[in-house]
Amino acid sequence: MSEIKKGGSTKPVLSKGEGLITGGIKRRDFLKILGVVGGTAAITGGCSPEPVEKIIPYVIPPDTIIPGIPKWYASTCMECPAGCGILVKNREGRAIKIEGNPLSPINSGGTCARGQAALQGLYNPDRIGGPHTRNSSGRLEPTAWDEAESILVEKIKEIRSKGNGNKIVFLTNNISGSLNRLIDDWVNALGGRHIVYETFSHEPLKEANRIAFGINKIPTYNIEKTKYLLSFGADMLETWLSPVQYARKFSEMHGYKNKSMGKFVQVEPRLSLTGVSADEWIAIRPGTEAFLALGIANAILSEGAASVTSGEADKLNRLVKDYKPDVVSLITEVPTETITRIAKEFVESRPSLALGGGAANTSSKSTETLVAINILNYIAGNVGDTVNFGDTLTLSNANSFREIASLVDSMSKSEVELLLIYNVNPSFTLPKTLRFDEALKKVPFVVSFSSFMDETTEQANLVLPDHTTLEKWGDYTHQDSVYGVIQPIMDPVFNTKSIGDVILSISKKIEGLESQFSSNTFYDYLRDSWRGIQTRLAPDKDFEAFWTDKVERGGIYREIAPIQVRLSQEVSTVSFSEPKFEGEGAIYFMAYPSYRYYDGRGANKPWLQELPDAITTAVWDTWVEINPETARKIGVREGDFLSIESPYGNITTQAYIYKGIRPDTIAVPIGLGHKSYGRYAQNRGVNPIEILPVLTDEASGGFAWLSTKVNVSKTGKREQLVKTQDSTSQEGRGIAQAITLKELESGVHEQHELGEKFDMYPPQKYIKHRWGMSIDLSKCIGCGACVTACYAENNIPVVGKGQVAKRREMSWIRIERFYHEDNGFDIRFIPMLCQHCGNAPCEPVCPVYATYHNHEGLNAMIYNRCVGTRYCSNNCTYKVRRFNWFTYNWPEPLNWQLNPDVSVRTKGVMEKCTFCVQRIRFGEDRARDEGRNVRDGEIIPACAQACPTKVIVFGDLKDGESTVSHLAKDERGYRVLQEVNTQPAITYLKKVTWDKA
Amino acid sequence: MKKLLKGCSGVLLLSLIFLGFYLYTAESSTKAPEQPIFFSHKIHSGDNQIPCQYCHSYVTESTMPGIPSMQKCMGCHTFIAGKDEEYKYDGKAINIQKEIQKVKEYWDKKQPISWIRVNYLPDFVYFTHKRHVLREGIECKTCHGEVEKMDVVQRVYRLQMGWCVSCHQEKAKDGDELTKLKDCLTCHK
Repeated sequence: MSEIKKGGSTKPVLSKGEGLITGGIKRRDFLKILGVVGGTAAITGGCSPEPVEKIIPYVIPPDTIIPGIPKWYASTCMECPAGCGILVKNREGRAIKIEGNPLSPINSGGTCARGQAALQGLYNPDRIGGPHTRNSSGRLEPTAWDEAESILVEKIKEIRSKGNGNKIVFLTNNISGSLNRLIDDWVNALGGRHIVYETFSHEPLKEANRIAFGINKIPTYNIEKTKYLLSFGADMLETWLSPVQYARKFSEMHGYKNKSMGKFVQVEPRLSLTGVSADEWIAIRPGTEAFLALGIANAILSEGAASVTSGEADKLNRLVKDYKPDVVSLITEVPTETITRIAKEFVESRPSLALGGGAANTSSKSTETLVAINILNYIAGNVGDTVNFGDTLTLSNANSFREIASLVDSMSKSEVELLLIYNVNPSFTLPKTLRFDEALKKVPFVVSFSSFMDETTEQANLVLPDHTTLEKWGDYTHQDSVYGVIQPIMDPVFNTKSIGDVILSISKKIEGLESQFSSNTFYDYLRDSWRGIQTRLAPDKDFEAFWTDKVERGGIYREIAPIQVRLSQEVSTVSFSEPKFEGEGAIYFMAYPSYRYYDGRGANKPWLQELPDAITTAVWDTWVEINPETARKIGVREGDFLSIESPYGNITTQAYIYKGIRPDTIAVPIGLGHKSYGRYAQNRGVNPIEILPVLTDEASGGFAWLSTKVNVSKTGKREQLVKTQDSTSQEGRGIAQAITLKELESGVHEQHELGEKFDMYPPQKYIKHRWGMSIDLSKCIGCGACVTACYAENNIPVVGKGQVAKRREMSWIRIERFYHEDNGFDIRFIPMLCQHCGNAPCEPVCPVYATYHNHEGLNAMIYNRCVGTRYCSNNCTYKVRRFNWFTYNWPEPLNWQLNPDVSVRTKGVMEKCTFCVQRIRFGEDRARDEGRNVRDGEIIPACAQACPTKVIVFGDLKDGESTVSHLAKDERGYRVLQEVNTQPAITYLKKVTWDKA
Repeated sequence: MKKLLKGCSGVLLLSLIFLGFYLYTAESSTKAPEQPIFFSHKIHSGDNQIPCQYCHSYVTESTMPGIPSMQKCMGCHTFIAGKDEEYKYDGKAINIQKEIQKVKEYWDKKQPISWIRVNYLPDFVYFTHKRHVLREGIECKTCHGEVEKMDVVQRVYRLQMGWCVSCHQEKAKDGDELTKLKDCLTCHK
């Protein structure tokens, strides 16, 4: 189109799986030939040819594009049901980077790794290029849109002529907004049903709220206001409800500020990534959370500390009277004094908040557990304060697992003639015992709107691929207070068509539907539906102005105050008992949602595959977490393949020995084990859902994730478990440091001397700026959003499992994790990146001056000077330099995402964090245009921008007033390995821990 | 096997020498490339005094100068058909009207003209037109030569690093600015 040359110019080489390496000459052969032709190379080397390049102008220039200048468009992320607001950077017509929209109250500018990786969905090389239909030989073959649509029209006409309109089912995920209304109305007009299926739909939460408060909805939680957070298995920092929102709110609540911080207790059998951030981990016996909640409630009520009316107290006392802490202790394996202590802390540190849910706590008695948690919140006066029933989630509208199971049942009884599937992959996410695939075969005609060839789409008769979120118009509401707009960032990459447009266009050809669905395009339909919103919310405004404003801002953001809710009568009828576990095995089996792949939809994105799991640091594969004690008993070492056998099948995967899991429990992450879904996903890892029973939470009909007991045995096979960090110990080097609140209060801790030490070299001279960073370890939750953002911003190649096994991963920033066992089991995270040392060990050893310290404090790395000796990497104190062992490639069109402001590196070149020098230059350039100095906080590197908890602060250390220079002098500040006098530009702030009670 | 390798190496050696010689001579040639149509900067910029920025309109706001769109060409050439006369260039006679007719043909087909790039920078060099043009004392011709006198634009300076740095050294006001201008990160990111 125009003058793109940087980035996009790497030549794509199609390769299989993760092996993104070009074939080439072997090193030895290369050396042989070099010996012969070396002299010639010297002759020709001095005048290397310049390639003939073409400059291709626009025919008609788009008025919004100036080549070389990025444009940002607001939209809404649809990688999970949370619907975070995003801003997407467009350069010369291509979306190249996603950032959080600071205006959105959901994520306030942060994103998660999955949100960052949405670009690799857009540019996925395995996307379906256009509509497909099944031919006479049973294969899917490409067709034209007109033809594909008329096939569907004919099918609908045929079904209606038989009077079987009620046998049409539209199965979608939770889409909400205008598209949801269109599908509802459309399928109703045909006489069929719209069923909403979410893999993690939290039915017990709704049902428990109905029982306790008469509200059949999922509320929002004001975690930021709480002083004491007690979570029963809710993985709120990973996948639970709205992870970016809750991560941010959690960091406000739990980050150290003004000599204080909130306390967080996590109750779960396996220490999850969320649990790592907790001050206390209670390794409860699986399925007994309800009793612990009741025991705490009992202790509070018997102390008379509950804020309830006397009538309510009587009612509740009757309910909890049998659950004295000592009784509960026997059931839950939680010490009595812990229960009474938590009870005391929970009512004393108000406002507090108890959360429940998540796969760790979803058994056949989930609803009862959540009722008990509701009671806890109620007696502590949290409902209407930190529990907000004014602002509820649209996820509440999803159908329950029981309803999905009954759909599968009617499919297998041939009661469904036409099944339209959008944005869900039930073949992968439903347990095998439900026999969805068999039922699907009984459906005469299946239409998939998926843009990816997943397990379900593979079985469809007709594939009408939808645009990805970044290519289409739409809207989405996650919670009542937010109406998010989805707008296209660029033209569609493939020959896809928006599902809304398909529905509207086929309605024109179906009798009786033309008048009801008269909009020409879904965009018109969307605007009409927003006219309704405007009449409701801003009736005095002109619609065009209203619409433009909302599209620019990314949506409508309101504040909805919590409403006061009273305890319902029904709560007295609840009885509590232990949940049912299927299987004769001795070990509880936990399949938990992965924060990298969600329910498996992220598995086709190489950035997420190569993002090391925070706890195990494993990549590109599945593993099973097993307690060292259990492992010793059955003689298992890390990397051993274990066979996990439930009554419904077995899976085999590698062991990871993990102290953060109970000896009677093992855990496998959900997300991998795809049979199709593209080159990055398929035939990699295992899918633990396959061996789960079809067991529901009895009261709500939700899927009981934790309901299986299994047998575990060694298979005898063993391989290296590929992970990025083998050591779990800091070896006493104080890399990730921590300090207790008490020490901070008394000020007895050692204050590090951060000034200049005696040095034989002259001090560095900084002319205008010295760029520096501070990283607050009390806020880092290890989510890896920074890592993926860095991959996206800096054109970092993905190397694949085989290369990671050889320690050749290319990440410029990594999350190191260390285990601490001196005071209970505890994990610490520390983001590690180039420290931009004032006295950098890498610089003096470079023989060609490819790395040096510049006048702004950056440790510069000049790729075109680098000859690849790797001396710098050998001499780096922090092991943050990465070497390009190969020229890595981005298969078409993944290379469209490459940032044109950053060089794409080739074989033989060293690289590392640049503090996003392109962003620094951009900021300096803008300041110069406006004739001013760079403002503090104006330049934000990609990692700091993406961080949902705002761990990273970047700025000018030379400016004494900047936030970063204040933080550099913070009492918690230290520099990693400062004793070797590298004088890093990064100040870490120690993690703050509560004193052990 | 060894013999074969030696033989291969010999052939390789010879061909590399020839290739090197060819490239060396090609490199030192100052001949302007043959563009898809005969576009004369001399007629536009020299004879008709059209300012550079009329067509290269982003030069003060972006890193890239901007190549005029077909629409921009037709903005004038809808009304200017050119003289029906022979124009002498490089020993050839070119009919101006016919050349302008070619532009119209591209436009009618809604196709862009694929120009051959004359001034080339490698991918790892980040040059910004804006910062240079906005600076006092730097004109287009400082780097591109007297384009208004060229019929077909040809490269005047090789735009190699030594040439860039010598100018940076010359223009620096003081030692601090010299340090800044000589920082590798100025152009390599």
